[in-house]
Amino acid sequence: MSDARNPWLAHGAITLRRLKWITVSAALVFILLLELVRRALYPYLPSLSGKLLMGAAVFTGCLFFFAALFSVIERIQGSLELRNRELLALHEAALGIYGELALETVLQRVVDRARHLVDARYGALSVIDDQHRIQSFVTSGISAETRTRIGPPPVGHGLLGVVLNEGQRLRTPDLGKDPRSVGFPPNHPPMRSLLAVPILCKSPFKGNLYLAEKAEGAPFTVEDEESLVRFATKAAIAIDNAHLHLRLNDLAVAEERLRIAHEMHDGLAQVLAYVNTKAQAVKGFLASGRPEEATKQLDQLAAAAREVYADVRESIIGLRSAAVPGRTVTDLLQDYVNTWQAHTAVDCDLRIDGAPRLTPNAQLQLLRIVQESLANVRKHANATTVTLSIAQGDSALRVTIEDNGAGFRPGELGRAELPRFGLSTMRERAETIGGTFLLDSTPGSGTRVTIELPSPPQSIETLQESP
Amino acid sequence: MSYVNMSNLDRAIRVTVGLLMLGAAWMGIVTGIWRAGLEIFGWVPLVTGTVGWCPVYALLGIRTRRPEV
Repeated sequence: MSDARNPWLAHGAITLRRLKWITVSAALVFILLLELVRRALYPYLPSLSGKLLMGAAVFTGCLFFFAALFSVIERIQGSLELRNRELLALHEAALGIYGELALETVLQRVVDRARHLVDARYGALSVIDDQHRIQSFVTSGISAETRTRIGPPPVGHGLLGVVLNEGQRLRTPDLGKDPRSVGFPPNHPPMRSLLAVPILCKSPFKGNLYLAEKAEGAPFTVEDEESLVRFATKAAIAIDNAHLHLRLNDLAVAEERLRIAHEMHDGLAQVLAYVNTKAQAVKGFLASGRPEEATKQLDQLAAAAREVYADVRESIIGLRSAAVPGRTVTDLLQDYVNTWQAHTAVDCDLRIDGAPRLTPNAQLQLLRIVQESLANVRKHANATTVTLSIAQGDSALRVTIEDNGAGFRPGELGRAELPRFGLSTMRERAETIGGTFLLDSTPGSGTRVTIELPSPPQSIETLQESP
Repeated sequence: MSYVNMSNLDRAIRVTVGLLMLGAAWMGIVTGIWRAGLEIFGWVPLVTGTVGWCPVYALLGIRTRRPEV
């Protein structure tokens, strides 16, 4: 930012220039004045009175020179201290908004922090749509009761429209005296001083920040304006971040829908086609008077129906377990294992060593991998016991799912069979979050699935959890 | 933030005193070394009163002018 736009830098430059001027020119002036004094006192210099007068003159000159020098230095120091306080306040305000990801909360925090930053009594943030109309109006310092009494949010006439349509800053000591003002609606609290700046985001979000009524009836200063502009830049980053988070959530939902569609296509649709074929066969056998053959086909039909029923039930349990907010991944896994045991009659031993440290997306992927592995155990392993071990290391979480079932030779599985076991899906899930997936199985010795998922550092997780 | 640290009354008094000192010297009311002394030191209240800044006040942190809001 140039000196002209930044009053802090401009002020610092002027004071330094003054200091240089004083140190050079004042010394010359001092010598000149001393010479004039010496000439005026020349006849009296031999006497004591003359010497005393000369000494007093030198002392006075020195006093002027050093006092001027110290005054300038004091002003520079005061200016730097003030700037330091402003930057600290700005830093603290920015920290307060960076920890939040929900857009609504971010907007509220932005306007709250901005109000405190410039010591304003009222604050507001307008969200603007593509037609430059105010979409929503977040306020601070105004009670819900007062807002209700004021009525609907503003539409952007008068001074609000200046920032709204022209995207420029606005600073005025008295709203009422500005010719562009159109006044306030009934029950609106009285406001005099106003400071408004646009929030320029990279996301589709457009908004303006308005602060009114500086403390003790003072007008907003140039420094307030500069602080608010800098804060608006930081607020824009926080808002963009919240937008991206929102988009990430939408993408996760879309991805999950796609996965369910694939599962329905690979599982349910195949079984329904199988049911149709078998029904046709039963019809044919009954028509040709072969009831034993028809009964055999009906038995196969019933087995297929039981199988698909178990699959659907498992999917529903899985979806429910991921949709409970405020619960840890350990709680969700424990619940899932309990339900799975009750439905399959296979004993599942869940061992947890250390609280798992995973990002929300990694937690979801881990749940899905465990669900898929246990579904494989139920469908293919013919096992009596499964051990699910979760161990949190320094930088990674290690998860092992081991059964005592029939086992198989992974190398002998054809490409067509891989989707049936969901192995490729499990591997993809682990790899999308930077983890690894390892399958180890031999016929007669059971199967072991090992997954390693990277854990965020402790400090980052603490930051995410802090309000 | 202004450099001025004197009130208007303070400044008026200093300018008056300065002018009186210099006037007394130049009009010959005092003579000898007193005249030379007034000729030199009469400038001090006159200059400080005119610019509104007193070096002694600045060094001691005194202000007779009300702080700016």
